[in-house]
Amino acid sequence: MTKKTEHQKKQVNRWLKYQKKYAQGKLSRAIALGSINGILMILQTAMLAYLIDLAIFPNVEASLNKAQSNGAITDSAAFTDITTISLALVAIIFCRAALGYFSECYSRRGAMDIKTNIRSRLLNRLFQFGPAYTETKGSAKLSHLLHQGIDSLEDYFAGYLPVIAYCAVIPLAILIAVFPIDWQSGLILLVTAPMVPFFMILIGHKAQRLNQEHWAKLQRMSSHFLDIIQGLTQLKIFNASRREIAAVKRISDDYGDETMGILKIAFLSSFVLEFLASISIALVAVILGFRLYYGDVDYVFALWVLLLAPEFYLPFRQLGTQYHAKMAGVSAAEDLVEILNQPQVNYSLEETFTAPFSISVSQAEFAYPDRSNTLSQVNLEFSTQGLYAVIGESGSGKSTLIDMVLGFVQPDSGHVVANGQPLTSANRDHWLKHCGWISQQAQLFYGSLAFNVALSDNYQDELVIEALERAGLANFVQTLEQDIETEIGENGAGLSGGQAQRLALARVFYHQPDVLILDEPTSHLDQQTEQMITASINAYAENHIVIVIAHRLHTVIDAKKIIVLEQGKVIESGTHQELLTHDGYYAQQVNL
Amino acid sequence: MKPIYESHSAKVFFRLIGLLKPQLPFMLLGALLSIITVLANISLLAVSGWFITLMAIAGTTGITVNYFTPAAIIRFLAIVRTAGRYAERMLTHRATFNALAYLRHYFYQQLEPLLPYYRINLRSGDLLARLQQDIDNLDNFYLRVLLPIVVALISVPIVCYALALFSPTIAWVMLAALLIVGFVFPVISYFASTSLSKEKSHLESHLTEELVNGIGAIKTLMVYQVSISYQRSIARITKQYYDVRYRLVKINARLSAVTFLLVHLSALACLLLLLPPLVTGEVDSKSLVAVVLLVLVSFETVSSMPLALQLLPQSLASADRLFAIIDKDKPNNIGVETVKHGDIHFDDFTFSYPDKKTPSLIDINLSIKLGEKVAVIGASGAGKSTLVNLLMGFWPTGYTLLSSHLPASSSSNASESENNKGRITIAGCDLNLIDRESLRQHIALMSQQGHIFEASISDNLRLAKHDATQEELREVCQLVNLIDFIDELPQGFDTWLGTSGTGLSGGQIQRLQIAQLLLRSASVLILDEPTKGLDRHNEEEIMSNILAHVKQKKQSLLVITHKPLMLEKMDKIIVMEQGKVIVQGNHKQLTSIDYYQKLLNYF
Repeated sequence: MTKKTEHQKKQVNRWLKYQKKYAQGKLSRAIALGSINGILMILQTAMLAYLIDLAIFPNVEASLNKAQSNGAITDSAAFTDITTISLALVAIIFCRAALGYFSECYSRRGAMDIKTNIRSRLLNRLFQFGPAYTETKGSAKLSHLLHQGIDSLEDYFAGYLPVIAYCAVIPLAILIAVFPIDWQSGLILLVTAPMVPFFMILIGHKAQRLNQEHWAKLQRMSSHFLDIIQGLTQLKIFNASRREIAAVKRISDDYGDETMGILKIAFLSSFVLEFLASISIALVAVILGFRLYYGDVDYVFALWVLLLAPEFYLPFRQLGTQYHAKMAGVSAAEDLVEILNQPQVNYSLEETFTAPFSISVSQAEFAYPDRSNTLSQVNLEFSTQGLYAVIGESGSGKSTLIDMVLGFVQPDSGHVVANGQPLTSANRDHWLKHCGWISQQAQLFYGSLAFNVALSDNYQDELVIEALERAGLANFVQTLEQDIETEIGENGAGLSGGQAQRLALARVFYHQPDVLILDEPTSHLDQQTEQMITASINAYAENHIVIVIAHRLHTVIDAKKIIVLEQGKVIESGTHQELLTHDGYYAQQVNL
Repeated sequence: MKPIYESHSAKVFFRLIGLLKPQLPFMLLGALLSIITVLANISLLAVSGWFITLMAIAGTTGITVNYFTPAAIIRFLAIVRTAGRYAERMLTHRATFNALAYLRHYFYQQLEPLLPYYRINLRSGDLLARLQQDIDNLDNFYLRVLLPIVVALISVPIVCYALALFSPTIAWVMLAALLIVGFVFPVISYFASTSLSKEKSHLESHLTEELVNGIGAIKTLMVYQVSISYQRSIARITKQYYDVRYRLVKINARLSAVTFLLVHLSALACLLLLLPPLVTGEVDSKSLVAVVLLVLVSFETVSSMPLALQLLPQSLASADRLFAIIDKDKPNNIGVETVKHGDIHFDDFTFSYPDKKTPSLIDINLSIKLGEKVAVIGASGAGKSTLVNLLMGFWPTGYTLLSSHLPASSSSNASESENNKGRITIAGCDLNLIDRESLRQHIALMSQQGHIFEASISDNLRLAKHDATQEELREVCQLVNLIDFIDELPQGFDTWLGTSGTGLSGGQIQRLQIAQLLLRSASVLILDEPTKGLDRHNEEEIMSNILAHVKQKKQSLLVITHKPLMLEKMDKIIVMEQGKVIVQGNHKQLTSIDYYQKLLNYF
């Protein structure tokens, strides 16, 4: 383990502890209630011991003093005592049940508050960084982190942290209670207590190392199983399905062996713990027994200590079971800290853009980390209105160029300037107010058709309907029972690819952006829909700036300017006719 | 678990047990150890209480007692408890993993013939992921469901019997208390939380969806200035989700609270119940202490029952879903013939998928001669991929053999013969009569839905040819221009691919799949859109490499493509539309046809 990761670990642990404040005292309350519960437990065992003592020894005395006449009186006195103490005991039991209940509720609620807070902060941060960041990190991975990743912190806050506190409070309270009454038993507990954390740390370290070594391997194995199912057809094609399924047995067995290897350590650690606890309890019992025999100690105290002994080790044993929660929490926190510790973006307040628009890209260079230049020496001008088409092979830098114009990506050198102002992350949101966007596959959201057009719950019905009409969806909407209020459900179920893309177009008509950017909007559509959408886009371009990444060349013949990118460079640009005369890449593609 | 399903649930339960039969000895041994450990633990405290009371009485009365035996028993029980716990855990977990390995293998074996036959039902990635999840869920079945139930069923009577030795009343009281804590309370809380649990899992998947959707659509959200309202909506769903979860937490906390009450109150009640017999001398004071302590810890026998009863319906539902899938009729492959080298013919061939009413291929007549290079073009949905899939023998074909090939349920349908007629032959032999393994040895396919496995590059390549030498791997990677990339990787051919490893670009995946195909020593190679995602330079080079490769190996080539570059070099081009072959011929013959031109331009 290097020093750097050691430092990171400290940072992560500090961060986790710092999050406690977002529970607004709920966690502290939970821990306080749990601790009171522990102290009441000491009282409860004491009373139970006293009760048993009362029940047994008046009896002994009574049988000894059977001849004496006052036997009946002692009996009845003991009886009242027994009733009072029983009632008190019942009261304590009810109190403890209530305390346990509220402690659990508070700790869970507190953990949920913390998670809610972390989730909104993380989401906010991701929106600050924008798509350039989320796409490099992987959106699937990020949404997993936002949901399951953050949720795995719950057991850390609601389970691990309280138990840590109880480990300090409850054994100490027991020692304080036991020592004044019977220092010898206290001494046994005190001597055995530090052994527990000592052995746990010793074994925990080994377990952790083993864990880290095997973690990647285990993950690979478990993803292998899903892989086999998903790739079963592929395996059949290769005549390899039977062979691989036979391997599943072997790998499952290996998986079991590997996991057992880790569990063995975990079991061993709890073995040591339980062994220590058992030995200590047995020792306490035997020593107490002999001291009772020699009349060295009162029976009631002996019984009490015996009842307390298992409770003394309980928090430590619980700590062992919470170890996994800690590991999971820390590993999720590592990813969270990495994102949340990135520097904040400062928004400018008063920079506004007004129509008409012109965008110029000058000498722009850009490279993603660890990759060769994505864009180099790009000089482009988009002004007033008209259709601009960007074409090129995949990987030629088209998408990066678009991201730059939208302000999601800043060039490493050179400028992207809109109406004389350089685009930065600070004024990005102001700029985006004037932009519209349609992606390759329409992105639909959970909600009504109208919501998906307006992207807001406050929409004007007429405007929505008009936008849908212009996008050629009027007929479709009429077939729907609930009109524009129809829920389009998960993943846009019920809409074909073409309809979804037209919906995205309706979104544009509703918002009327001055600058519209489209990423291969028709690449998944049939010819008819394609023609319809292409015509709408061309019409829109008469009054607005429209930049389209095109896949099928016949959709861009009428463009004001066609820009051809190859390996991050603009190799040619001009109208369809100009490019045909130029006889370069474009002409070659068209003539094939 | 609604009552109407009970008999069905029971069936599923016993079928699952039946599957676990080979593991049963191990499992029973684990259960035995669990019971011994639990009982040792319970007795330890009881004997300790008995012992110190004995010593106290001996101390006050001055009677000499045999204290060696109880002290030895305490030590013995302490050791049994600790060592037993360790051994029990090792054994039960071992049994769990063995059972899981066995079950996984079993289900995979059963699934193998079903894919891709039931492509419609099993197509979605979600479903496959759930299948996997269901198998994983069976993890819990032994350890967290079966074991606690067995332990409770056996140790509760033992505990009650032991108590009855002292006082039958107490035994009955405790039997009732244990039943309530171990069964009644969990069942009540299960029913109290059923609707909430449903709401919880609904909100959970809703949250996942919104997050996946939103992060994926971050550009749209930002461009249309709705990122704030999106964040608010996530916050709202989170709140709803946690509110529901909190209500579930409360139900569980209530369950623990009433359990706690019952445990401690019944200990107190037993103590009070024993007072009269103590006075009359029916019970001695040592036993009283022992019984009270025994009662206090005896609830350990049912402590895992709430979780077990919670998980039981889950495990059964998972098993039920799995059984439903593997019980589907399997396409039986009766083919035994070995493939002979020869031409492939489609004669008046019409085909529809078993789950579809309209045919996907209609009256196809075509041939692929030995060593011939054939291209198929057409818009999506024209039936190109179906054509290719049939050649791999994934679906039985033709009406003549229908009755013996299709599952009984679907073969009786009269319209089937209308939608499935004609035949596909290889060297004159009907495709259905050919052994599947032999067929796939003869014909190799690179499909568009190809899958890259989470394994090293060389492992992925060796799937195509398991005994390929390192030289062979290098050679095919050379042909697809991948060798420079691989050599630059720090771990070369051992680089791990997939989500947990290095990501490949779309073009690199495509090239890797071509490399896999080239490794196959088949006589017919089929490529479905081989140059998708490749840049011009790679496309040209790789295509000419493929053509040279098939020429050298005397392989036939069938390509689904629209690249004019390739079409020129093909012996025959087949144009398909809506399941029909509308025209075939070579590039020169076809260029005059308008539709052909349009198809080329369209893509």
